[in-house]
Amino acid sequence: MMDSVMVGGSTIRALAPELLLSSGAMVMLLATVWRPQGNVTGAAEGAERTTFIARLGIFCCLVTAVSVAVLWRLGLSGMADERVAADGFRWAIDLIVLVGTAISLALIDADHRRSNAYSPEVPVLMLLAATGMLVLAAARDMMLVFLGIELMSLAVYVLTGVNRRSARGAESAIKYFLLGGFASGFLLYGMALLFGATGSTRLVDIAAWVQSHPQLGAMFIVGLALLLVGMAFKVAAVPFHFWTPDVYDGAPLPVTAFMSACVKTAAFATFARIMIEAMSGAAVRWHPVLWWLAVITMVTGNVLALSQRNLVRMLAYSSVAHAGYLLVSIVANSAAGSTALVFYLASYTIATMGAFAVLIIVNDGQDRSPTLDDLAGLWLTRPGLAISMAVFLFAFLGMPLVGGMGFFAKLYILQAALGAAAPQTVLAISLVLASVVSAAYYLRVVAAMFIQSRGAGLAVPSGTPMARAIVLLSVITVLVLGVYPTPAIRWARAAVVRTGSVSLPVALVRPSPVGAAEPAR
Amino acid sequence: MGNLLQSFGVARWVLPAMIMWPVFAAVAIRVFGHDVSRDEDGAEAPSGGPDARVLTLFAMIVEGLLGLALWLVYTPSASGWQASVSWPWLSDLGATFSLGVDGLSLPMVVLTAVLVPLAFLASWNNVRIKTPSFGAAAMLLTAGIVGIFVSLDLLLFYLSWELMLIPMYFLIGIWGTGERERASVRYVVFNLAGSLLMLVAIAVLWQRGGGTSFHIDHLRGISLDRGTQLLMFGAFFLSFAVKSALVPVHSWLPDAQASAPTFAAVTIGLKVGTYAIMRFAIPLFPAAVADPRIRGTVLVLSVVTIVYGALLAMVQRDLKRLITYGSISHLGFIMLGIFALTDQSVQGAVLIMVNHGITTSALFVLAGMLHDRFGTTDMDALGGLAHHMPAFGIVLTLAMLSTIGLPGTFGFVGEFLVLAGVFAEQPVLAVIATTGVIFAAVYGLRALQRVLFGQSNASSTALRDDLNSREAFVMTAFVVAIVWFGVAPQALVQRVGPAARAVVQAAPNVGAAQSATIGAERP
Repeated sequence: MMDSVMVGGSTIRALAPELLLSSGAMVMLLATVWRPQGNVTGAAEGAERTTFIARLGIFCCLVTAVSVAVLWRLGLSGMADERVAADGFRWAIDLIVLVGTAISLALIDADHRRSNAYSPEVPVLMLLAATGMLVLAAARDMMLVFLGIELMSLAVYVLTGVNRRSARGAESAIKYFLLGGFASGFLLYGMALLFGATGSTRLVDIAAWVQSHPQLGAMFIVGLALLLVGMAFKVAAVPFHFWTPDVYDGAPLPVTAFMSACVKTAAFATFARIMIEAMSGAAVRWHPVLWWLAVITMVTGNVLALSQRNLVRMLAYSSVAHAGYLLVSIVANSAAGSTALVFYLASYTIATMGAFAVLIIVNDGQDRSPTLDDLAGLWLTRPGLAISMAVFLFAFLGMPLVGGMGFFAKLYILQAALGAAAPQTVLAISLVLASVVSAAYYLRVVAAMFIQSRGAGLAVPSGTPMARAIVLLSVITVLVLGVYPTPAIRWARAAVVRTGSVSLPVALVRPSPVGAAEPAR
Repeated sequence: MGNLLQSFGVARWVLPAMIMWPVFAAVAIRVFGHDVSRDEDGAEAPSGGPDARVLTLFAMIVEGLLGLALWLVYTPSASGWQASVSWPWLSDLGATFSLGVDGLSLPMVVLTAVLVPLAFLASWNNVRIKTPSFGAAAMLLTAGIVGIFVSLDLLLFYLSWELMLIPMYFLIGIWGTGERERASVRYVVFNLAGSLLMLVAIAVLWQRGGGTSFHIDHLRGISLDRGTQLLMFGAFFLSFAVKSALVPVHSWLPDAQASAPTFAAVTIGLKVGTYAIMRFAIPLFPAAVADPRIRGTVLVLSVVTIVYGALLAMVQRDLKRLITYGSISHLGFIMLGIFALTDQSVQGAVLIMVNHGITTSALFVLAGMLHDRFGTTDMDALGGLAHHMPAFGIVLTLAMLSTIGLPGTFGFVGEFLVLAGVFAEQPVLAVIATTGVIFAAVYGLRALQRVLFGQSNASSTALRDDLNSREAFVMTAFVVAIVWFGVAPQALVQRVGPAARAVVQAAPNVGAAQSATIGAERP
């Protein structure tokens, strides 16, 4: 009796942020019903409620973020049966996801003032998706991974089609749902085969099994392959990326920002955790696959982005390329790699949110994606906006100083790749060459904003105070952390050292140079 | 004077100030500066607030004074880094904010700091729109270039190296002429391709050095096997060669320099690439430099650059492009001097770098004046200017003669030292390189003929005003520098000499390479 209470208590403590966020979502769902409707009707129906619910959602995210920070500080231990992690990696990913979700909700609020395209359930769905992401960050059991992925994906499928008046939105939602369902099937089948081979769904058991069975066996290999396919789809790695541009293009801009930053963060978190915690022993088998996946993803994403005039499609392909860069950090398979992953995701999330905030301001509530022509000559009318957008693009490009944290994000990935047990020099060179390609299309946007003249009849975008505040805060964060990234890096490193100490088999934690530099401080 | 400045402790803060001040000034100019709108006649009609150009000029003059102070506190007889500072920066990487100068960087820093206000003053009316942003970009560019010359920390150097790109991109793209968008993108993509490979090499170097420091003194102490050195030298050299526009990676330069506004064209001409080769590539990877294949390739490429640049300069119709190809030809001399690795030739290379900063800048400023007056620098559209613009003609002639390398001008000193040094080592290459000087006479004199003499063209009768007092002041400074250093280069030689020797000693020359002592020293 006493035991089960204790176990129950520890379960609740271990899943406190997830429970907090999902109860927040429930309360918001009830609030959509309870809050009396204003006297507006027609297209603006429910407009007030959406704003109120979105703000409530931001509040929930921030409260949960505080609870995550507190739990991290307290050094909470996970569940005794090691199904739920309680390491720095989880908390760091949680914080990125929560901040990203809060900004996405703020973007919904900002965009909503123009278009009234969002029903009050949208913020609720976003919070549910975020709950799924938190589960993903914590999951050390295949079943929890699947639970998190489905919770996240189902909510996001709905979010992409949330604009009922947009045919493109409906198309992209259907496309995403069908392909995503397929990928989930692959994932689940892979997990089932892995369970069949190893007899457990817990990552620790799988790791132990891999250690004791160097031959692996066909069932395991096939299971791993199917798992990789499912994961590659979720992180949008080439050749499983085809949904990305269509879905990003069809979804409302704030939802696209949410997908491109938060969904990617959560998917990469769980991908990295499975690969490093459970599959490290089988690295010989998956290493070449991920290596090629990374190279092809980086190159293809950047090359396909070159020909886009539609900015959302361009950013979609660029996000594919970024998935490639992030895969490099998983290929590195080291503590330095996880640090780089966390730092890169943080940098990428902030820059993405900022860039989409600019696009939302420019797009001014229309149901179409902004193109290069919409940005032409932006500098002449709104210099601050143009300079901010340039900073975000340079951050994607990884330019030092003017691109702020983006440079250090790439630098840490490079260092992780070069400092891996088997140094990935070729991968590092592919990464920088792919970045050079990306310079061409990022600079085309910059050129449109700064060099071309403003097209006749283009309105001067103004944007809501909320959207402008997001742009300003993102720019300041990116630039300040680009001159002095040490606080963020220290945080990202804390995220990883604990992962290693809790779960990685000792033999697999290779003393990386970054780790070696630690005691010197 | 030097002692007085020393007693104020100038040496302790002058270098950080030279980097921080432009950055601070850039923000201030952008925030407080105002565009001075112009009416049809070009008369100024202030629209409230200080003129951004005045603010920019003031900021640049302060930078120039800081540069002069640095020159004065520098002790020529002392060795090692001077005026050095080392502030903590990124503790987790071991990167520090380390700055310092020696005989190699001192002339370049001072040149940059003094040249920048002159170039800006000379092109006062070249830029008429968005002057606050222009001033901000110009100041950031200055910070980047100064940072390149004074950084002792490789990460800081890399940041400065890349900081050059974006302001220059905007300077060419927004305020340029002609095909500015294409030229500016090409500039960034070419240079980025080189420098990102260098970034990989820097990361490897840092890793091999124990991951504790990016300081050049620390990284020089790492022992690397020869193969690694070759690869990493390749990455560094590619980046530096692109930036200095060595044939065959030069093709971005003519477009960029022809489209750029005068100020940007002058600053592109500052030889950061060849400086970085002497500062980083050679001392960090001596075995690679001593490798006969590498060294031979670079020497041959240098000679090819000399001849190719000169030949292309001969067929240009546009004065700006002619100057650009001439400067590519000179770049070949600099590379030749560096990789000949004799005391004399390296010293000569540094002198050419300084001379190039003065002479070619003067030519670009003059070409910019023509462009401001006639809207073109096409030499066929010009002609007979000596009659209407005598002072202009005299200055252009002198600057062109210095480019050709006439004795008594600054251009002669460096080229003579390089050729003398190379002849001792590689007589054949020296002889071929000398043809570059002859070709220079051909294209230089022919350009003078086409611009200054002959029939004055109908299209060029519009605004044939001679130098006004502002332009005359700037050009006097250039003329004095060209003649002064041509006749009495001792002040420079005295400071460059020891540093040049240090570069040569850092890399064992060919003879030593063949006796295989490198393997013993640095396995």
